[in-house]
Amino acid sequence: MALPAILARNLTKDYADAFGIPRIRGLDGLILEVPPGQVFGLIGPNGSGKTTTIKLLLGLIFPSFGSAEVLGHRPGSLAAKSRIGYLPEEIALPRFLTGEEALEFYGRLFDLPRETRRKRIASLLELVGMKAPARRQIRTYSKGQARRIGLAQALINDPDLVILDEPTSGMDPIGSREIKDLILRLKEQGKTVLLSSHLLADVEDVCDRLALLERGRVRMMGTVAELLESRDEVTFAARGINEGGMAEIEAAIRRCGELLSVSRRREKLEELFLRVIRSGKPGDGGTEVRGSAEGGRSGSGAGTSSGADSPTAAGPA
Amino acid sequence: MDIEGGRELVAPGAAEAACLFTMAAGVLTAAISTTFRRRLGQVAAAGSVSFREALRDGTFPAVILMCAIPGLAAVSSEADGTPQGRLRLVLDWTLNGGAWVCALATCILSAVFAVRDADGSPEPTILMKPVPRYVPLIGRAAGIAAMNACWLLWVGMLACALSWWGLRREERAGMDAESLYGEVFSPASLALPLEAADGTDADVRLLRPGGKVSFNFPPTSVYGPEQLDLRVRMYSGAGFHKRLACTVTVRNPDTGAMIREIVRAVAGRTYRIQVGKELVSGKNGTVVEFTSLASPDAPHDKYLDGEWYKGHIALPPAEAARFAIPAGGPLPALAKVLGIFFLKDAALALAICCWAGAVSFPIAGALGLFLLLAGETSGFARAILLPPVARGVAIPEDEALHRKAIEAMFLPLPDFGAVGGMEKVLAAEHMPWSAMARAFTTWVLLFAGPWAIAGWLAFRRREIGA
Repeated sequence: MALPAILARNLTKDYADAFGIPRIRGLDGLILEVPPGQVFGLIGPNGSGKTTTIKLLLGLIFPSFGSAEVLGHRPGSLAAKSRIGYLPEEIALPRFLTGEEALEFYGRLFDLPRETRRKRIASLLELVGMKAPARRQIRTYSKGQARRIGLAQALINDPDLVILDEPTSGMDPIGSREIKDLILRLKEQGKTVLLSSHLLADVEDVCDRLALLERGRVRMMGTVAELLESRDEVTFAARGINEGGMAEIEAAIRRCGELLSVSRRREKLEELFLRVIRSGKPGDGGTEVRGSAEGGRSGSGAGTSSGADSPTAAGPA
Repeated sequence: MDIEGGRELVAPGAAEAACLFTMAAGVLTAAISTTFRRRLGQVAAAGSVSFREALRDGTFPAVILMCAIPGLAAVSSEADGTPQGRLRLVLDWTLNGGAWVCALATCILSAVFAVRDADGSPEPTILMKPVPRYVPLIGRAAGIAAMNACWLLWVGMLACALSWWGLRREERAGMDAESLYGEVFSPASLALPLEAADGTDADVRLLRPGGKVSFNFPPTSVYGPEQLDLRVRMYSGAGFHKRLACTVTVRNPDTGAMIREIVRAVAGRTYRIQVGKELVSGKNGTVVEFTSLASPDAPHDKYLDGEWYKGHIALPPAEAARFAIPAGGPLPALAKVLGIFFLKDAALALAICCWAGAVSFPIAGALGLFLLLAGETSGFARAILLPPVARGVAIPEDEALHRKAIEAMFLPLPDFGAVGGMEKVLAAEHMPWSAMARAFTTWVLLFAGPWAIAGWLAFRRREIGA
C-alpha cells in the first residue's frame, strides 16, 4: 500500500504571546490522511486554521502537539521539501527580479541543471500564460500575474505534492478557470494537491475530498459527493418541455412526494463571462466586456469546464 | 624584521597559519563534497538576488554616489600646499570616508534586506525549497559582501584618480606660484618645486639658462636624489627641459655629497649634465647650476611657454603614487587596506544578516550600528579602561579581577582599529600580508563566526509567517 502523501496525527498548534504563553489555539487535534494522487481541499472561514495546517505540513511553523508526515518525511526536511511545490497566500516573490529571473533563482535552489532549468522555465511560463511579461520586474505585475509566476515557481521542481494556498486569489475568472484546469491536469499526472480556499465553488470544482475547518477543528470531512449529495432531494434537468408537459411532470412529482420548486436553469456568472470573453463578442446586454489585462493566455485546457456546467447550486451546507 | 627589495619578509605566524588552514580546508571540502558545492550554488543564487535587488532599487548607485562625497570634499578643501599633504588628505578622506559609508550601508542593508525578505515574504518560498535555513542567511550576507567589494573597489579607484588629480592640481598651483616668482625676480625663469624627503634640505628648480635666482626666495620643497631623478624622468617627455638648466639650491653647505648624488642620478638618465658651477653663495647656502645639453629636435618655440608646458604635463598615476609614497607605492598597500575594509564589512554583514532573520528591523538595525561603532571604538575604550602595566609590576588581586572582567566585556566585540591598515597607507609603510590574515582570523572567524552561529540558532527555531 502506498504511503499517504499527507498524514497528520492529532496536529495541534497554539500561538503564544510575547512571553511565550499560549494564547490562541490555531489548530486543534487535526487528524488527516491524504492518499497520493488526490486533490484535497481545505475550506473554512477566516481564522479557521487552513493556513496554519499548511504551514505545519511545510515545517514553516512547529506543532505544539501531535505530528505529521509529508511524503513519508518529517515536515520541513530537505527530502520532503525537494518533492513539494508551494504557492503561499501572499505574493512571496523577490519583487525586483523579473518573472523569468525569479524562476531561474528558484530553479537554482533546486540545483537543477542549466539546460533543464531553461526548458522547464519556458514550459512553465507557457503553462501559466506569462511568456510575454516574463521579462518585466515582478513589482510591476498585477496581483493575478504575480500569482501565476508564484504558481510557476511552485511547479519548477515537478513536485509530487503541490500545496496551494488560495491559488485563485486575485485572479480573473479566466485565470481561475485555468488554475482549476491545471489542478485537474496535475491530478491526471498522479500528483497530490492540497488546496486551501474560501472560494467554495473552486474547491467543489476540483477537489476529490475536502475538510471543513472552523476555529481550528475539523467540522466535516469526506468526498465532495458525500458531503454535498442530498439523500432525499432530486434535481431534474430537461429541455424542450411545453407548458402541458410541465404540468404533467409536476402532477406526477406531487403524487410521489413533495415538489419544492420549479425554476428555469440560470447560467452561472462564470460561465457567462468565459463564454463572452472566449467568443470575443459582446454579451446580450450590449455592454462590451474587455479582455483581462493579464499576460498572454495559455489556452490549454480552456474548454474544460468540469463541474461548472452542473445546474445544481454549488457550495456546502 | 627583514626588508628585501622593499618587501617585508614576515615569518608565517599563527594568523597566517589559521588563514591558510581555513582556505585549504574550504578548497578541499569544495573539491570532495557534492553537498558543499550544491550549498555553494544555492548561496550564490541567494546572494545574486540581494545584489540585483540593490542594483534595481537604487541602493547600489546611491552608495556609489555617497562614497564619492568625502573624496570630492578632500580635493576641494585646503591642504598644506605640498603635493604630499594633498595626497594624504585625499587618501585619508576618500578611503576613510568611503569605508565608513560602505560599512554603514552594509549594516543598514543587512538589516533591511533580512527584514524585507521576512516581511515581504520571499522567505516562505525560499525556505520551502530544499535549502537549509542557513543558506538564505549566508546568501544574503554574501550578496551584500559582493556589493561591498564593488563599492570598495570604486572607493579605491576614486582614491587613485583623485590622488592623481589632486597632485597635479597642487603642482600646478605651485607652478603658478613659481612662475609668479619668476616674473617678479626673473621674468624669463620657470621654476618647479620638488618633493620632500626626510633628512634633506635643498630645493631644485628648473630654470632658463641665465635666469636670475634670488637666493632668499621662500623654500617650497625639499628633495632627495631619488625624487629628483623621478621628477626629471617625469618631465622627460615634455621637451622643454632639454634647453633648461637644472639649478640646485643647497641650504646646507655640507651637502656636497648630496649634490654629487644628484648629478649622478640626473646624468644617468636621459640627460647629460655639464659641469656645474657655483652661482650664488650666501648665508643660507649655495646655488649650483647644472646645464643640460640641448637636443637638436627640441621644440624651441615651446620651451619657455609656461601655458603649453602646464598643459602637457601628464603625471602618470603610478609615477604619482610612487612619487608620493616611497615604500613601494600605495597601490599594493591600497589594495590590502581595501581588503581589510572588505573583511571588516563582510564580518559585519555575516553577523547582522544571521541575526536580522530572527529579530525585527529596529533591533537588527540597532545591533548593526552597535557592532560597527563598538568595533571602531573598542580599541580606544580598551586603552582607557585597561591602561598598560609596566612589566614586572605586580597587580593587586582585586585589580587583576577587575581587568579580567573588563577584558571579558570586550570579548564579543571586534577591534576594527587593531590592524591599522589606513595608518600604514598614510604613513607610507609597507602593509604585510599578516595584517590581512589577522583581520580575517579575528574579525571573520572569531568575531562574526560566533555571532552568525548564535543568530542562525535563533533563526532555526523561528516560525515563518506565524
